[in-house]
Amino acid sequence: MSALLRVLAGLIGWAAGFSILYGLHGIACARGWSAVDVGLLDLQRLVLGLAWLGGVAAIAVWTLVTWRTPPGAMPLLDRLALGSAIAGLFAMIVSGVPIVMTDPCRGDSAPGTVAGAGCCEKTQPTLSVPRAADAPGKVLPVHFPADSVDHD
Amino acid sequence: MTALRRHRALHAIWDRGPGWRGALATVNHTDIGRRFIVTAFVFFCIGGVLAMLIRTQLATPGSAFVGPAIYNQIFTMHGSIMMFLFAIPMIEGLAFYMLPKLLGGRDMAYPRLSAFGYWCYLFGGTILVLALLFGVAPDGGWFMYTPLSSKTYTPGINADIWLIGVTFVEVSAMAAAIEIMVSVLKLRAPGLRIDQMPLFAWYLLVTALMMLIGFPPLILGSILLEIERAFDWPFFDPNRGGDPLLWQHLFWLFGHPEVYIIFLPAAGVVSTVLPVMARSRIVGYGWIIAAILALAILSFGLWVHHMFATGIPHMALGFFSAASALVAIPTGIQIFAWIGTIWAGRPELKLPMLHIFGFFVVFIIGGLTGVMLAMVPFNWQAHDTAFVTAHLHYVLVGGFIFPMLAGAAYWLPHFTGRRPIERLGKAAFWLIFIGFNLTFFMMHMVGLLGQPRRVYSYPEAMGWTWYNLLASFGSFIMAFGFALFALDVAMQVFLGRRSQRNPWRAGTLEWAMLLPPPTYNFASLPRVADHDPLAADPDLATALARGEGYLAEPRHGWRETLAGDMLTGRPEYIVLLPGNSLLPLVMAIMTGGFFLSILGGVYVLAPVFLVAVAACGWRWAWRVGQREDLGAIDAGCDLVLPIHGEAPGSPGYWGSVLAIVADGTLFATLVFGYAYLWTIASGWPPPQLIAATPFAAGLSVIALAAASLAGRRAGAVPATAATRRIALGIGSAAQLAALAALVFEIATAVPPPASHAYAATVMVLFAYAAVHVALALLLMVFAWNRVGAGFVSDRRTAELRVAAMWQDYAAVVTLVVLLVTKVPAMLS
Repeated sequence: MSALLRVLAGLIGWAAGFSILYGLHGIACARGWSAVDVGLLDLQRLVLGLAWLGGVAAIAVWTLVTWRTPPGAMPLLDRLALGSAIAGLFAMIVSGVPIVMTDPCRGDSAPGTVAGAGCCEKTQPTLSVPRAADAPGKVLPVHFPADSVDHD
Repeated sequence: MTALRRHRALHAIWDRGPGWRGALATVNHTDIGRRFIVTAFVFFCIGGVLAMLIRTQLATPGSAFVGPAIYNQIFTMHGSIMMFLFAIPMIEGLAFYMLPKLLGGRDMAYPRLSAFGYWCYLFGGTILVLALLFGVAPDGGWFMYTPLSSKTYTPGINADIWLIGVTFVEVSAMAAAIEIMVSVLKLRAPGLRIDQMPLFAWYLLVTALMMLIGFPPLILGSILLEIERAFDWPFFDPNRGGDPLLWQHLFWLFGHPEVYIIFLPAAGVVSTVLPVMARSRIVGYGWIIAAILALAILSFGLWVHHMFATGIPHMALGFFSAASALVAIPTGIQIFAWIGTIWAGRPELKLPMLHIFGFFVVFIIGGLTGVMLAMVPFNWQAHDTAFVTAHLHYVLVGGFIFPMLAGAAYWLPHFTGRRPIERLGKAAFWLIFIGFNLTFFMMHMVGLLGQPRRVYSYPEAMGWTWYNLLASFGSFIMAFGFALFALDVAMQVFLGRRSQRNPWRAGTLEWAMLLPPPTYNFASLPRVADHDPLAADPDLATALARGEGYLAEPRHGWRETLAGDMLTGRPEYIVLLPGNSLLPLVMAIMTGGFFLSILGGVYVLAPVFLVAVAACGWRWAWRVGQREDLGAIDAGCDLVLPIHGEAPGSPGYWGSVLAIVADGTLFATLVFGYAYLWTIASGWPPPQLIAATPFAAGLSVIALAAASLAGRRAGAVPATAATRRIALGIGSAAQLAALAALVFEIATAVPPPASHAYAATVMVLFAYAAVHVALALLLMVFAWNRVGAGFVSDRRTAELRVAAMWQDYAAVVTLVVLLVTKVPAMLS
């Protein structure tokens, strides 16, 4: 079983790193870290950036370990373990790119959908959900409280 | 013993038995697999008829064919049936039927669990379809978004039927996932190394792993939503600290991997059939395995791309958009491996190959529109339009239906023992292919023109009329194609000429047997040392029939197969599989009673049925368990092996490990939901936290630690029966004390669960812990009785180890529950 887990280790490393990034992002937006300046960066980008680099470094080390491990009885499993490590490393690098490229906590939503999730303001629109069963052909309104949704 | 006498003796052991009782009690994997496949096809036909009704309604603007209320039920049931009652069970059926034959075994690891899963699937699916007939079918869309599916907006039982029916069916999927994993890892033919395993087995192994981790979030979401609807506990109500988006997270945590759960086995069919049709070996065996492993893990990081338009912050969108684009790479690797296989061989355009051609065209288009939708700006434009509906049909029909049709054309001679009628099949293919593309290409177009999905009508002035009419026309062409396919199958079954053995000249083991297959698959089990054993030894089938393999001598009425090392396939022990029984059926009926009592709101009956399920489980385990030491016995070919109950790492042990993985995933998802609400939802921190008093909590932790120690002592070797009984008695008493402490906490410390999502979630966390302590207690009492009956020895401790494992799990989850609930209360 351990040999099979080793085959998946690199990708599981990515899954863990990705989960940490997403979890930290939720906490950062809820706590308003993006409004706290830390030198050239805001606290949110700093924390997420460090988590990203940490994840990349950890998987890179694992990739190196896998690369240097002497071949076992099943060469295919060794190659799969290395491939999984490289794939996990590549995925981890790509997954974190939005940290340096996107707005930290601003969210936009399409009309008629529930908005505000993950946003520091913790606001929720009230929806009067259109029900087709009410009246065929009748257009029903969707009400959003003012300022709860960004409309760009 | 002659081959004929061996056949008769083995058939008598493995056969289902006569009459209705035999039909109801059978647990043979060939029977169960066929039943899954046929039942899934029946549900597919029902879903197809619903699709025809949808297209009839939309063929013309302002149609009065069905009203909006019925239309809502029709499209909801179409999606739900196709996803839950057709696709997944079809995979289960194919896996059950094919895996033991492909891997050189005689049955799956848990034949009675297969049968139980089938009955759960049949009963759950029947509940859903009967609801449609009575006009109370679910009507909130196949993903049941809250608040639309909450009690306020769906006051009837429509949503409850979906939640109960689908959860009932998912019991079957979870059972299948565990069974497939253990069967692939342990029950392979001697010598069949994991790096030489047929690709189809790799695909199913990875799919089962995904099911094991992917389905629990949906089951949890369904439980929470049903509790909210039944008892007004506000998990998804934003006015009381809940969040409707929590449902979307839970649903799509399952829903996106589900797409790959459906695609991967179908891709496995392509990887199996294509090399045979191309008269070549698969190109890039290792690359394909790497690609499916990457797909499996990456697919769990995509779920939010179904929620791009919900107002999630840009950075989070970026994470999921990047992951969504990444997943195209392993899919591309598989496509190129298949193209390389065709390139390297001499392809023959027979019927299975024609369906694979259809798969290539349709799935690649679906994949490309998938990459388009993974990009946030485009996603926002196409969100909730018919473009998305068209895309998902290109992916699912391309990625599942066409490969399954290829598989049907390829393996039908195996199922029926008869030759196919090629011309009819080819006509069916072209009708399906042309009809499908006409329907869904038009749907792409009309989606880009702005037609929303799920509308029951539209005005003529929108300019969508011709597109819809052509789409509807195409759908009827497709329906004729499927009808012709069904006719083709029926004609093959009833009128086809006898097929020769291995008609496609394939190299895999499922063709090394009589057609249709005998109940026991192989008269003796092969030793495998090649990717394509039949290609390496064309006389293998005859040699096995002559009894030149393992376990060739039928004895004591035992159903025997071999289990081996997970990596090398080196034989480790003989598995004695259980015979036919009505117990799976009875247990499924009791499980159905439990679900129906909840559906009907007769909650007082639910515990009664739960006790009945536990009683069935007790009897099941009691009768299956080994009762005496048999020692090492002859396995043939000069090999002597112990029985599974006397060997470490028995199938039961690994099944428990995997069940805990699935259970742990559900628990982790519950903790995620709790953390999510605390972080994201409005109305937090809650007005009242759990009482911070640590006494009852501390008592439960100490008691569970003692129970874990007692469990370990009971399973230690060597030990006398009296020592084991004392240890188990102490452990049970400690568990009882821990359970009482948890119940005390629930009764006195948790705020009223209807008051706030916090209280509701904490209550569910405590209930989860209490249920698991109760389960661990049941297992320890069971083990105590087994020791008392003299059925446990130093060689046979598997039951004690399983009981100890569940006890450890109960202790860990209780500790986590107490930490995540009590610590914030103490700090506040």
